[in-house]
Amino acid sequence: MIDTVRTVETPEGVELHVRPAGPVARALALLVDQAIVWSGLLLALAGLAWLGQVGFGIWVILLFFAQWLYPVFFEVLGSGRTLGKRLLKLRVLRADGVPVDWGTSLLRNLLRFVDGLPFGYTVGLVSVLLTRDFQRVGDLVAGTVVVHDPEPHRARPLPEVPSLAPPLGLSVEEQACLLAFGERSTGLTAARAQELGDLLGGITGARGEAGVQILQGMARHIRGLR
Amino acid sequence: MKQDHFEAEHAALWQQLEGWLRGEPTLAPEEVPAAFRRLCHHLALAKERRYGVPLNDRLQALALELHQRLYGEGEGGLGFWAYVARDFPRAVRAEWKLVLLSAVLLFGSWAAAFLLIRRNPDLIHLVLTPAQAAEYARMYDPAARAAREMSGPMRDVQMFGHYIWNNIGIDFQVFASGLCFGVGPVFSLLFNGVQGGAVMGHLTNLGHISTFYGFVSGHSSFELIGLAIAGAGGLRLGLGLIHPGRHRRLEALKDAGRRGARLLMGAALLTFIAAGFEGFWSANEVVPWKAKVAVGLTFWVMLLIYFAMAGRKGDAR
Repeated sequence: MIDTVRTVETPEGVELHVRPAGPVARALALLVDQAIVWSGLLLALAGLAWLGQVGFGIWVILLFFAQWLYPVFFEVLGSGRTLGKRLLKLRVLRADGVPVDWGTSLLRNLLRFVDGLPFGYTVGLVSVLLTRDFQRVGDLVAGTVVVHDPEPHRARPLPEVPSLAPPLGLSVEEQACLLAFGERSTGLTAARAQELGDLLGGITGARGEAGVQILQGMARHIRGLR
Repeated sequence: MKQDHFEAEHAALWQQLEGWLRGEPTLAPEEVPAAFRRLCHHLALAKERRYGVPLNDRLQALALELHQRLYGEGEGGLGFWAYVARDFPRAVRAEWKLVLLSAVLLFGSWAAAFLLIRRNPDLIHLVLTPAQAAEYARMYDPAARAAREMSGPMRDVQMFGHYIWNNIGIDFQVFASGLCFGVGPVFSLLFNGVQGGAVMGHLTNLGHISTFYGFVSGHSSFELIGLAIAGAGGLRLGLGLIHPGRHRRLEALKDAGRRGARLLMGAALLTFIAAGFEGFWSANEVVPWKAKVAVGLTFWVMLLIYFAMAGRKGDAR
């Protein structure tokens, strides 16, 4: 199975799932960050210009911080999120599933220098494409992974039909499938819903409108509506 | 147990935990770990008993957030002083072989270039173009010095910024380029050593003693030791890649990264101090140059004592 879920086992003995983010989302976050940093730097340059040499000195210090340490500060103080990552709902986590600390963040961000070689993040892109968890070289060395923030589960309304217990022993995936059908069935044409419902005729023991209703009832049961 | 029964029985606890995450005083701090362990138990049960997807998702998200909150709290502001007073010198001592190698590369090539150019002044043209050589000679010419605006508070701030951006940037690059199989730091250390030694030899030959030594001595200890330590961090990184030893290569690299970063943070700090001295002290013409050299030498001795002695107390090694 090609799946991008990575499991983190906690000391309490349960497995938590995080979803590593791919190259496109990360590149967009990077672009946003760069845009923010450079517009900030240009504004600062305009503001500091009238201070002459002193202003220029301060600006170069800002340049240093923007170049090397901007991501470190924001990742550590923002629970793993720079501004760009915040916008794209990404987060940097350590291998044990917690947001990065100072040492880890510094390491992964200084190694941007290597990921940037020879130009335009070529090394980083190749590394992201070759590793299972989309890690660039800095991530590999620091042991970090950039993940999507889990989306809060937004339950969509289910059609009002009598709730019905599904057969025993359905796997979590099968339950999710039934639930998804229940949620989407109201948006489908009746003919299409019945066509799909008929595929599960073996379970519902009914065809057509009746079969769809039984599946919707099972979805309500899975959602916990009795 | 039926799912609705299970939910009814434990929903109160989950709501308390969700409230606590939002910052509500639903649980006392000391109650949270136990509540979290019970939540983990519930999550395992919900998975094992194949309760519905929404319940699983809710418990899963709650457990992840609590896990990050409970285990993610780093050490506070005390970490910095502990690092300066204890962890940094310890890290340098722990990596003494690589620090020594890095120092030999930097100072060895420095001394070699210096001595060669003292013996044969024309060799400077192997290192510098005639224009560069002339520029260095002009910059440190004691006769022309008073005429030029070399110092002053305005210029000091500008140079301070430049030194921070340039010199700490070099430290970071030397470190990161270690990942290119360690070639980066070796090259940078030799390059900087030869360059520095050659310029020093050239200016000594020309007799610009007071200006050159007066300028560089104050910050030389911080800057050069900082560079050597950053180089050692880079070498550690390269070594993790080409010589993983008994570990898997990736694990060796992670370990090398952690150890290298501990060196690098201190190196950057030293270079930052150097930039301060270089910007605000080195260029001043109030203090006689011999006094500035004496101060510079004192810094060398103090730094070496710091690395030899600091953090020994309670040292496991």
